[in-house]
Amino acid sequence: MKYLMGFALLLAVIAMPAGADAVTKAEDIATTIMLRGQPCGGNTVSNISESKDGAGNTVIKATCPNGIRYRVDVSANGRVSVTPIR
Amino acid sequence: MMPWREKFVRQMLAGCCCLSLFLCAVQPVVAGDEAVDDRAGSDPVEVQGKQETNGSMTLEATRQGAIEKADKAEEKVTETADEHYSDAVSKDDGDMTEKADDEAAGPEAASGSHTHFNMDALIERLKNSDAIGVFTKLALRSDAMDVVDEVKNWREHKGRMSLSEIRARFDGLLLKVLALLDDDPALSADISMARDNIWNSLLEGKA
Repeated sequence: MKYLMGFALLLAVIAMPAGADAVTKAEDIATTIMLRGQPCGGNTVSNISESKDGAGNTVIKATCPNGIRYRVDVSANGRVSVTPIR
Repeated sequence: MMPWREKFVRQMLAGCCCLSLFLCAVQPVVAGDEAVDDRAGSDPVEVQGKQETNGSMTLEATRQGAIEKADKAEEKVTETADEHYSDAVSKDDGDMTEKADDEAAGPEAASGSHTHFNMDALIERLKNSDAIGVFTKLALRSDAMDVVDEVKNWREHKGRMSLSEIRARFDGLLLKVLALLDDDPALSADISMARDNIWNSLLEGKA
C-alpha cells in the first residue's frame, strides 16, 4: 500500500507539468478573439457555449472579461471569424 | 657543575647543528634564484657551461643533446604544419566540389530541397505544439491561407496588393505566431530563422 501511494505520487508529479503547460479552452478562445483584432480585456473567457451544425460549422459563444460577448465561427474548411454579439 | 671543556664542546655541537640547518634551508632558495637567472638569460651554452663547472655534464654532450632536441622539435613542427596544410587543402577541395555540385544542379535545386524539408518539419512541429490552442491554430491557418491566396493573385496579376504589402502582412502573421509560441522557444527560434525560406517558398508556390 505504501509503495502504491509513492508510485501514485510520483506519477502525479511527472504528469503535473504537462497538464499545467497545456492551453485551456477558455484561454484558446480568448487568444482567437484577440488574434482577430477584437478587444477582450484578459487571457480567458467565461460562459462558453458550443454548437455544431450538420455542415460541420462550429459556433462558439463566449464572454470576455471586459463584458463583451463574442461569436466565434469556425467553418468546415477551417476558416475562423469573430463577431461581437450586440 | 659542568667542566668548561664539556660546555664548550656542547656549544660547538649546537652551533654546527644550527649552521647545517641554516644551510639546508637556504640552499633551495639559492638554487631557485639561479634557475630563474638561467631562464632569464636563456643562453643554453651559458647554462651548459655552468652545468659543466658543476661537473654534471660535459659541454659537448649537452650541445649535442640540445641540437638533437632542436632537430626533433623542428621535425615535429614541420609534420604538424604539413598535416594542417593537407587538412586545409582537402577541406577547400570539399567545399569547392560541394559548391560546384550546387551550381551544377542550379540555384533552385540548391536551396529548394532544404527549404521544402524545413517547411514540412516546421508545419508538423507547429501542428503538434502544445503552446497554441486548437482554435488559435485554426485562426492562424486561415490567416496563412489568406496570405497564400494573395501571393497567388499577385502572381497571376489579379491581386490589388503589391508584393511589399503582402510581405508586410506575412511579417505581421509571423510575428503573431512567434508571440504565441512563447512557451515553445525552440520552435519559435527555428521559425524566426526560417523566415526568408518560408517567404521564398511562398513566392515559388510551394507552400
